[in-house]
Amino acid sequence: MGWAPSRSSQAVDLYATRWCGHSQQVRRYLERNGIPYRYIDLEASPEAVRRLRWLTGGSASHPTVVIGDQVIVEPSLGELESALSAQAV
Amino acid sequence: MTALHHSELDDGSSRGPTPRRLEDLGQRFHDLEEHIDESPVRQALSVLHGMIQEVRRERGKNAGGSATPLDDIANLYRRAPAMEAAAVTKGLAVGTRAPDFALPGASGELMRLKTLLDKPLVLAFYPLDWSPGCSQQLDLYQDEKDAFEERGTRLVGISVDSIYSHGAWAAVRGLGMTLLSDFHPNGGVARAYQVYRDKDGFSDRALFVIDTSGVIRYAHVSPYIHHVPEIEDLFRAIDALVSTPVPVGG
Repeated sequence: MGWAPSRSSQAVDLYATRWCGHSQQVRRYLERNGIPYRYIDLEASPEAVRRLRWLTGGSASHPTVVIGDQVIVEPSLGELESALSAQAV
Repeated sequence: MTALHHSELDDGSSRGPTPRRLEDLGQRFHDLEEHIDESPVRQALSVLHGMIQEVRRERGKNAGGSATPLDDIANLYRRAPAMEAAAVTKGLAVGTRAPDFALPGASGELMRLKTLLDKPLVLAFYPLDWSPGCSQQLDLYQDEKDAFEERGTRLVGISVDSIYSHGAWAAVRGLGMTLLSDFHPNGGVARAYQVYRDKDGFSDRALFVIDTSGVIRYAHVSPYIHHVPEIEDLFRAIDALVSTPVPVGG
């Protein structure tokens, strides 16, 4: 299922909505830089929302990027770049 | 005394890939999720996990240098009151001649529509500077500067804010596109393009692609003002415009 947790520490999951500008910014950043990721549409899956709330401490704020076991809520692109680099993605 | 394994000592660094032990614990946390029903206990565990993640995040930020006051100002929108409502307008239709206008940009110079039409123009109406959706939308467009340029188009933002607000907002966010001030009469150009929200005093979120002959070739009003249109839809519209000859006399 699309929202299932990642198994690889280098896997990148993007919890997002289509209409969110920040989500689009992060998605386009990942694509521009050729970083494989899994797109999880929060509006298409209540299970994904439940999962996101579990990971973040109750918030469904988006975009949220999960890199391995690291959860970053609404990251700036600079922060995302650093996290991806630190996780050797 | 509990013996420390060599591998645990090796895992202590906060730099580089996630230490193996932390990775294993993270995976166990993931695996346990499906076994914990909705309850205060689940919420408490989730909150603790969220706290750990935020502490980790702060450590990473400190390692990479502190945020500047300018960053804090740029991010004020994240704690600002939400701006959410359904659209109340439909906007001018495709095929309509774009109404002319003369509005000042942030530096005060007056710009007329016709002077902007040396190339196809993307006119982006947005509700207000500094608001959440608009900050994100214009950040996105700034990031896509090259994509707009590659398509031979010019993107111009327009809202009812003053030239001074535009100047400060653009400086804080690093926005390079022209921002037009539809300040006085308030929303006069938004009214002409039929995207003005009378009860609110600002426009709906709307995009118009205008060809070099001044005809609207693409129009989109977001169904909700907090919805930023998918940028690929806009690019497809621009690409279609470029590949479709302008009708004679159009």
